[in-house]
Amino acid sequence: MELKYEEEINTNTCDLDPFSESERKAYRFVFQDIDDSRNFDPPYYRTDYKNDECRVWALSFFDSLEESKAKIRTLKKHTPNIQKKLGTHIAEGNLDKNDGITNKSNGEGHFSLFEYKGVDLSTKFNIVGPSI
Amino acid sequence: MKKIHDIGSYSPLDKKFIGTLLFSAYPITTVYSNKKGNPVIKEWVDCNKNGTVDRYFIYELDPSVLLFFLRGEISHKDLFLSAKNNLGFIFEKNRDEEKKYLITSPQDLPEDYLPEYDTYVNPDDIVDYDKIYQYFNLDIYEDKDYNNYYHKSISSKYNAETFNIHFKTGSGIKHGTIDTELLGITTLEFDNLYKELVFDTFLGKDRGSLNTKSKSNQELVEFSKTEIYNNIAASYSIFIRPKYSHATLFDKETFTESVANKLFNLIEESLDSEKLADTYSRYSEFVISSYLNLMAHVKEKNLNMDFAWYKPTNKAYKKNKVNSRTAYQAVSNINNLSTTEKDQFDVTGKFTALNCNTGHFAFESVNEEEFSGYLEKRIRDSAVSLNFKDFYKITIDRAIEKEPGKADPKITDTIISHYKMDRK
Repeated sequence: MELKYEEEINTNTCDLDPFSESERKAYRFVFQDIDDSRNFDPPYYRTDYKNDECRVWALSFFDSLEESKAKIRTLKKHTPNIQKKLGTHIAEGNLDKNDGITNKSNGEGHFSLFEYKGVDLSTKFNIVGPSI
Repeated sequence: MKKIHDIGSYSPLDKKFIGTLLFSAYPITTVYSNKKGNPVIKEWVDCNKNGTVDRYFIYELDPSVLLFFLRGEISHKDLFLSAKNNLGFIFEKNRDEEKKYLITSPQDLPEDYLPEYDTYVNPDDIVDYDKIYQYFNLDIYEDKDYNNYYHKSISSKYNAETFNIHFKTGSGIKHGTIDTELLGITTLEFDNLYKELVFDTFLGKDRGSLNTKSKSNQELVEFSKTEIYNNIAASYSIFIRPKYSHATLFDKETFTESVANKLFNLIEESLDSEKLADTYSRYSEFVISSYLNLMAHVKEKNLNMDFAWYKPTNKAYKKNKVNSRTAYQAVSNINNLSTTEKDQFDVTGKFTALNCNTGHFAFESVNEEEFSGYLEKRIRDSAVSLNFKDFYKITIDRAIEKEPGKADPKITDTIISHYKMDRK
């Protein structure tokens, strides 16, 4: 299937081999309104960080609520205003093979998702509570 | 009219992107290199309500400071506060368009733009460590010490000759914290030593005990005061300066420099018994006593510390390491300078006090000179035969012990024999 940002992703430098379809529970930082347009925007539209032509098109998720809360706590210590950018809440959802391709989680339970074209994750995720 | 350079048209990011410091998924801290080849850090700090305008703080750093951060020796907040020339740029960017710049100091940033106080980097969070390390050749700064760097920076910033007491290890010392009692006692002992060195420098070593309450000495007493004016977590490090500087128009060596030289010479000499024997007489007993107290405290608390001093005008720097082993050595060397003189003489007079159990006596000579001490054990039982009415001729063994750090010698008198006189 075609990736949502297929054209933008520089496939010459983007190694998608570690990514594959899977079914997994996922947690993401979002704003209080699940329909907020920023919630599932890739980093390209949310920062001026354009230095990684691959990473800026992937969405970040966590395997568990605890791991996502731990991360926001760490981020907040370094950048107190970070929730103004990433969102004040955490949403939970179930990703499946129709949503896109994900990689393996790292030691902090973080993984990335390249969405397939036409996917709207706001319909699959629900707010579970504030991130802090 | 002449064209004035518009700072607004200067991009603080006139540089090359090197790598991301923190974090992989959320790159809030990135590293660039400017034309001078110095690191320039870009920190995301804020955004507007709908997230369309981002605000960053951008600042240049000494490469060594970047290394201190990567090594976890300084916090993220310290990184901000180490901005070169204490300046940085705030700039706002709207996705594709740079908006405006402000020049500001990290000290003036809103509190929520700065990392929390005790936030240090987790090595696992550094994204492009190797790229950044190699680009800035950080290996050449590996032997640099942050405490040393900070000491010189703070001293230069305030143009103050500065002592540094760096508490490295010991009971009650952790990274960024120290037991109040330990800090209090150590700084007090140091302050006392500094005062006595000031008095020695001003009045000479034969000055005797100074009445610090006397009005005539108030100016000197004020002049001997110091203040702690900065500290860093390192494990715990404090920076002390004289409270009042003494202007020396014609002397190359400032007053504080002279005191600092005496202090560090004393520390060094005290570790070498031969050197100490030659130089010890240069110090008053009050300086030696204060120094002994400080070293005894270091030994008792098993401290591992550095004492240092820096003069920013000529970059003169002194440092000595002190720990329980060197403190023991110093105390031992000084105590070995004790001398004991012996004397023996006869005195005629009457006993004025006697304790038959302990053998303690008090004796007044016919010349109204007073003596006290103990009967030698061998003749202690004879105390019961003595009285306060008759005249006695006593033979006294006198030991005069001169201890370093004590102004007055310790005199110990022992009666080794006594005879009742038939008449005066």
